[in-house]
Amino acid sequence: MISLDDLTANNLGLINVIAYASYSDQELEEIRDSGELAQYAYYNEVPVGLVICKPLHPVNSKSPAGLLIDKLCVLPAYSGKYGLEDRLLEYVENVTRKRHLDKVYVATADPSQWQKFGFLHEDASQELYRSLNLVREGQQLLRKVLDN
Amino acid sequence: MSKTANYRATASKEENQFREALKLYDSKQYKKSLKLIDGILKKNPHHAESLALKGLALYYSDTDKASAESYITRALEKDGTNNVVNHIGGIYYRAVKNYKEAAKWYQAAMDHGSTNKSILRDLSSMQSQIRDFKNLPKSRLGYLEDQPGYRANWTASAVAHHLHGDLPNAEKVLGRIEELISDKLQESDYYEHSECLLYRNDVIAQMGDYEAALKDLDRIEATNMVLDGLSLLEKRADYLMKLNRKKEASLVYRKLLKRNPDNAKYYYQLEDSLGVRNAPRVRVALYEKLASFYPKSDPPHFIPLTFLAGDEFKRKAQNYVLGQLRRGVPSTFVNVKPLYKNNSHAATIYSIVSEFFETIQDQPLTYCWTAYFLAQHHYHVGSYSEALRMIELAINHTPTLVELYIFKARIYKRMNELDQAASVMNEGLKLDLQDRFINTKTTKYYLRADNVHKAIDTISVFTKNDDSPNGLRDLHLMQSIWFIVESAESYLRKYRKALGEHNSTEAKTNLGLAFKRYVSLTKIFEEFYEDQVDFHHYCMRKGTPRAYLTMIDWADNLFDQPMYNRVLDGLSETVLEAVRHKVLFTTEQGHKKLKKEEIRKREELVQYSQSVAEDDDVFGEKALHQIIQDEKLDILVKQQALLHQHDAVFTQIFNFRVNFQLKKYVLCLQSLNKLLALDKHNPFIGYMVVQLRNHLAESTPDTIKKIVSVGLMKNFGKADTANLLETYFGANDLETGLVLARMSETAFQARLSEIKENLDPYSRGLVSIVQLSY
Repeated sequence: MISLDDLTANNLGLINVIAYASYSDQELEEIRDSGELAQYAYYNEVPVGLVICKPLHPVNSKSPAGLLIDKLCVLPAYSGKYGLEDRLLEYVENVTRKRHLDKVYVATADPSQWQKFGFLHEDASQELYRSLNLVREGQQLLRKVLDN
Repeated sequence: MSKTANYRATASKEENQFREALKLYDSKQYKKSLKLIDGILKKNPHHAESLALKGLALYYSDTDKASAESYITRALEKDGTNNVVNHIGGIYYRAVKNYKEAAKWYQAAMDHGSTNKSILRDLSSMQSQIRDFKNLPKSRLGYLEDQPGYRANWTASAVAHHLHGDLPNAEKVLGRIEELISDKLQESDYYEHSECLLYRNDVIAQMGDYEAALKDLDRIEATNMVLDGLSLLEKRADYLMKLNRKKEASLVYRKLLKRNPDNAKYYYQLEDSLGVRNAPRVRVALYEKLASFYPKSDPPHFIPLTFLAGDEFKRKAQNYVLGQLRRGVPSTFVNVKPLYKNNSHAATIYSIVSEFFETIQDQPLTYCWTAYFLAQHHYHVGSYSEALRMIELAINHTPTLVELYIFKARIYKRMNELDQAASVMNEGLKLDLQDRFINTKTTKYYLRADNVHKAIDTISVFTKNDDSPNGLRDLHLMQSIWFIVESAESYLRKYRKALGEHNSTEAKTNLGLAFKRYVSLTKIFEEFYEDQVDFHHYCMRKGTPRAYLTMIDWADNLFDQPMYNRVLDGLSETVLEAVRHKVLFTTEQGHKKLKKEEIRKREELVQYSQSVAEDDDVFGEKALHQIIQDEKLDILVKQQALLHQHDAVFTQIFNFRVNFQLKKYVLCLQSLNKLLALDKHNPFIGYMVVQLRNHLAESTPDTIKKIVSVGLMKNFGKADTANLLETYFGANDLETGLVLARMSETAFQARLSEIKENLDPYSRGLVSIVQLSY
């Protein structure tokens, strides 16, 4: 019933619709070019969910600290009922492991919905995250450490 | 004595040189061939064979196509009884697609003693193409006698008899070859053999002796050589029905249903064979049985809905509709739409679905498709704002389904908000750019909104655009009829709008473009007709006489199809508009120097308008100007000859409009009377009566005036305006509105206003646009 699939040049229009966002054409291209870092979720072959993430690169490090979830959303009518969020998160975790990383980050204004997935508060003011501007007004940084 | 010898020597030298030139021509060395011919002609400018060959070589060598014909005609004039010259003439006219002339000269070649029997084969192709079925059997037979070793020639001969209406001889020829060949068949012949057996059976059935046809069917089935099992069953069932052996027929229909339980036709035929059409109880029981045999097929579930009523209808409809909605079938509404002809059924279905809608909040896709169903219901009963509300509910719920946008756009279209409609369609398109269906829809909606450039941009994603700025040329090359006809209609609307705004330059350009598009469409249909040429020979060789005859039928009615009616309707309207507003084309518009901005705009317009490369009349202005000058309307008169269905409604209307412009009032009267016999309330009848009455006074010889007015008196003597309005303009539909829009008399205009009130906004808009140019 649930399946995931890549973004293609022909279905980028879905991003703004699913995420209620307004990415510019250029941004949409970049998201697509990130390959496995973005993914659609389908419920009975209807696209209803989306995840977009990117590597979190500390300023003074060559290798990324983990993957940062930029957007993980499911249309309200399909959200929280069919495990679409779980599947998208599981996908992100798999990509993280595939890249030999073990941390997934998210900046959110609503920590409670992430905590149930094992995300914990992370101090964004640490040296590691300096000048990355990870959190905006009212948001917190959360982190999940994956076990092997 | 020596003089003749000398002459003979030159003659034979000429002969040899000519043979040499012919050889070169055959090996496609046209230039070398031409050189030799020129040598002969220098010595003997009257050598007809050389003249003819020169024409042909010129045609194929691309050096001087234009003068090719003059050599051919000169050669034929000089020595019209020389079979070599005749043959070359035939080849030339075939190449230039003048099949009538080609047939004439091929025939002449045979008549003048050519021993080249393969000419007969080409002759038969030409005769078939021009439908000269009277002479076809002779040439087919001639070729068969020369080459009896090929089954193709026997089949061809039989088909020729058949086309000429001589069924017994067709059957005889087919039987003869069947006998000759039956013990020599190889595996590669099996398909041809199977087709020929079935064809022979068709011929027998067409003679009307179904007993014999059935017997033949038994025979060929027993040979085990017929590969098309479906045809065997369908024919058997058909013959049994015709012989009134219904019980046996019903068994065959049951077999057919087993093969394909989704073919609704078999269900109805089964009913007829069982004789239960008028026995509702038995009918219900029958379908319940069938539905249990074929639970996954639609017809046994749907058909009972067409004859049930009351609670029984409600119960079955509920199962049918809700079952589909639960499964999320997008076409659920389309499936039940035929039932909407019955108002009480519509109400029942609506109450079933709207109750259901309240109970399924927690099943998102079912909810969504049900809202989609309800939106379509409201649209269908004409409550557009309610339809819009429902579709928006669905879109807000699941904004990623393309179907929802398509329908939302359709609602806006019906509300006559055409720009909005196109932009909603485009929103849907953005969700899935590789979906050709929505691309096509978006293109069409832009055309309906008269935004031709945007339409071309949209569809150009899917066209081949090398060397051209957009897909317009490719669409013409690919014969994309729907696109060309929609753009023609758009240009015609743009013309009328421009006329309404007194912008004569704009009006002229758009009318010219509409004309160009319509002419392209007529050419595409000509090409369709043309495409038959190779098949007169090919189908016989491949052993597909049945498919061949289907093609012949198709081509015979090609120009009477609804799509071509639409083309001719638009083409005649365009030409008649040009004639009525000839001032657009005849007043010299001062060639003032264009500003830079205007030049850029003009160039852009050319890019979006040029349908073929290197066109010197992109906007069709020269062509229309020519037609206005000429006054003979050849382009329309030519089309009249293509309409083969002499008793079709459209044929009368088209002929009337053309003949009226040409002031051939007696012919107009004939069309009027025919139309009256065909469709006694057609609004065009009223239109024709008024037109004839109003214009009869003008410049007609008294005799004609008398014929027409007596004719009018006979059928319409007592018809005053009120009477006409009541009889022919009673319907509140678009067609009636469009006819009235062309009539300026006050009484008719008042009736038009009434009709417009009752039309949906989109149709009302269409009528208003037509009014702009009348």
